[in-house]
Amino acid sequence: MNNQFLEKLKNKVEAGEVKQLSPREVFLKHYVLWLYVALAIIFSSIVLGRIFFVLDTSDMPIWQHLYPSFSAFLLATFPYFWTIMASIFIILAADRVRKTEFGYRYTWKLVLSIAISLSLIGGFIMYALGMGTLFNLLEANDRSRNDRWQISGDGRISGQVLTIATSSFEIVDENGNSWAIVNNPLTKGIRNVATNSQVKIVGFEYATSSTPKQFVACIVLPSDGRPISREIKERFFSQGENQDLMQEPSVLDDKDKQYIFDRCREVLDKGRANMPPPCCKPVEDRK
Amino acid sequence: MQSEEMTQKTDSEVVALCLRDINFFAVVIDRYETRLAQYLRRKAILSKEDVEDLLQNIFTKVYVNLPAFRPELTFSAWIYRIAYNEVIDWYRKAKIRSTIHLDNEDEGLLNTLASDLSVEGEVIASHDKERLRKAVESLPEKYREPIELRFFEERDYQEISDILKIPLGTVSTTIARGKKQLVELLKN
Repeated sequence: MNNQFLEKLKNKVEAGEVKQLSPREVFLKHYVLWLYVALAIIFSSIVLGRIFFVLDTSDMPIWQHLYPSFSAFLLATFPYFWTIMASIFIILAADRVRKTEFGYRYTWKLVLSIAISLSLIGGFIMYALGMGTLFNLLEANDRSRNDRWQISGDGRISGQVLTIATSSFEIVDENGNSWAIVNNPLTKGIRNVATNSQVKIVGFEYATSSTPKQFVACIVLPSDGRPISREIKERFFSQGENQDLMQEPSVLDDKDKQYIFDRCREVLDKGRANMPPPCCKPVEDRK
Repeated sequence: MQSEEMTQKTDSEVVALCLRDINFFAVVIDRYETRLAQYLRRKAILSKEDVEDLLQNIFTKVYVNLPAFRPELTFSAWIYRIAYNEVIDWYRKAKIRSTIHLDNEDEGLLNTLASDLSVEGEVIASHDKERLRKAVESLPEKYREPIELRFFEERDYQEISDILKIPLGTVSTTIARGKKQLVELLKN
């Protein structure tokens, strides 16, 4: 029987019906699946970079000024689509790993954990490199989120910083209107202001006869995400660009300054009132 | 027949020789023909011709994929994996479920399994061997395959992991559960 098998095999080889794998075919057999794994991890990293960007610009630090509860904020702003996409790519990556030559030796739990970890690290890198903004044009969410920030009467405004002066800065909003933004000792996040940066501001309108479009900032947030590179630049290389902003508004008299101070305190207290107990009572109860 | 010299060579050395000269493939066939034929006969009631056809397919696939053999696997695990996949394909084409058929030749191996079950506290009398055989044949496939490879093909756990492409932990868990189920079947 031994000869029979070998003879039939040799006949097939000579007839060209049977051929051993070539080195190229061996290479593809061993490594093509790893290429799919790498691509899946790259795609999941890009998507996670987007998720980090969405979360970073999701108004989370000031949800209490915009939504009645944290769960309402979460429901309205959670990046459902991107999370599903990331999950698909991560599961695909884990599945391809398990189908590799020795991937079956590792449990699904282990392989999935590693795929998630690699994707999170890759996503952070993508976000730090500014890749989070790649899909801005595709997202209708961005437009509706921006609309929420064009209600100056409700104490919300956003736009691009044009110039910075002593204790104030100028922005142009989405509708092309220029605003003079006044800060005060209570203003949070003034470090986020830089020329040409996009900002979101919580505060209140404070029109005067000379400056009809004036807005007092109580909280300033970046609107275009905080790539790590920009954080580092601002922290270590910004040579006091915002030092002037830190000054008290000198153009206003003491009465105005007190009024602004009190109004900002109200704005900040209102935000705290939306947060769950135990620490803060609503402003109305204090009166 | 293998020469004395060829008998001494490891599977990996024989593989290296086969890649240079197809005639050395006779050593591989000689080493695995009987074992694989027994394995195939346990998997299904096959005619002599069916066994020969399956063996021919298996050895052809082994030869074709020889350049892709990785030494991280044992050669026997690798060839059994090819045989296992070939049998699964045969089941699909024949449209029947995978089974196991134990005959008188497997008496000794049944004794090994019986001793192993006895160690777990359930003594199996000699007249129960027939019941044990039926119990093994009626096990669900997910338990039967690892138990078959462990006790009837005498593969170790790592080889079973490589043949069935499942994690090592899953192999030991599945075999433990399979043995437990056998004890239950024997009690009933």
